[in-house]
Amino acid sequence: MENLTSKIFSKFSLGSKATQSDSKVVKGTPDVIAQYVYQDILFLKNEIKKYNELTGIFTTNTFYYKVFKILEAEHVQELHKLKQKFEYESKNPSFQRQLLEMYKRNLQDYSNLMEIMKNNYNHGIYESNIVNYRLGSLLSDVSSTNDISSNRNSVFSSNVDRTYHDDLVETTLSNKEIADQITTDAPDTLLDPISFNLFSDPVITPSGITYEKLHLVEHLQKKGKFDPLTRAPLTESQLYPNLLVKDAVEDYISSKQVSFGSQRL
Amino acid sequence: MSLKRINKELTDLGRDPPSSCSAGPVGDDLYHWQASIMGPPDSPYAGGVFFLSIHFPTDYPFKPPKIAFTTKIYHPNINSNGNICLDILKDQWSPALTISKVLLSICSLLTDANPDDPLVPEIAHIYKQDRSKYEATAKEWTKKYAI
Repeated sequence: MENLTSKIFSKFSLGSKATQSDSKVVKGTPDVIAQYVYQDILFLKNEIKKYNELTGIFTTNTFYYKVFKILEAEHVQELHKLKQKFEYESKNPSFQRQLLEMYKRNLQDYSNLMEIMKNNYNHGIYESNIVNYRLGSLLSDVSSTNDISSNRNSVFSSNVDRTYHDDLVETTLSNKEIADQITTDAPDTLLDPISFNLFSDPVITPSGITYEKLHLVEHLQKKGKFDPLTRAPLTESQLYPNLLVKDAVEDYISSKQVSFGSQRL
Repeated sequence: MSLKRINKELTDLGRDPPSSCSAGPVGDDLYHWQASIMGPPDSPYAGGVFFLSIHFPTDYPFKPPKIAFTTKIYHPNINSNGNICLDILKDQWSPALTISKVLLSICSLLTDANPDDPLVPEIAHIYKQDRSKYEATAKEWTKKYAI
């Protein structure tokens, strides 16, 4: 595995080409240099695709492919915004300088992606775990903020190694444990008397008892037309949503999440 | 849903156990429990410990659990197979009932038998006609099988 990876990389001489634009002396105005950087971007994108063909880790449904697509989309958007900002005056020197900076950042993105692929290829067994986990956080990062460059560090520059993977698995588990704990600790008043779960769609009966709608309706259909606790006659049309209980459950969950969050810090 | 609910009932039993009974899974199968009931002090079953088997249906709690005594007991509403004649285990079942509540109902059935809806008519007859004879036999069976 190790040898194969190094072979692939020596063949593509990754990195050396990508950093050439920094080390090689390219003279000219920012727009000329931008052309060079852009060529490097195209080259690196091509490298990434070739790497996929050799290793097979970059098929259409992998994390890497999605990251690749997200990066591409992001870069297009970034370029579009920049052009808009300067009202499509491509001769504006300030635009040319900023364009160059943007291309450099884009190049760095692809180079980071390539680096991560290289690292992960050596222990691909963890791949599916981190793919699911990281894609979730990546997508929420992208959608929740416009300043994607600030997230770039946390997403891409992390040193991906075995320890990091283990951390991720542990985090996922403790989240599940927290969810279970939230239900276990919940006061009985917030639990559906049929399923003993926290309410999500609570309805109140004429007897004043609150049930989870789904389960109460199942009871009315399977068992009989009566209130499970009071045995008073009951039909589905007599149910009203209990919004107070719904709010109380939401408040309870958020208060729990806050306390669990501070515990971990 | 049934498994989650059964789990929750088990947790609650551990957290707040009823005074006169206990219950829990027999092995790894959460749908099969064993329970024990202590004979109520004010009954001829006092001093005895009675074991019961509990089987949860897969659509629990919409269907009642199947509960039967595995310890022999002399009672008008419990037959020689341990089957219990109790309305909440049959047509009066409600999904809001729990194992804990059912076991408490069985406890009170031991104190106050229901001879008007008997499972064993002979015992019901004796219960009605000669209460002291019924109590003596019940005590005897308790000593024989449950202590």
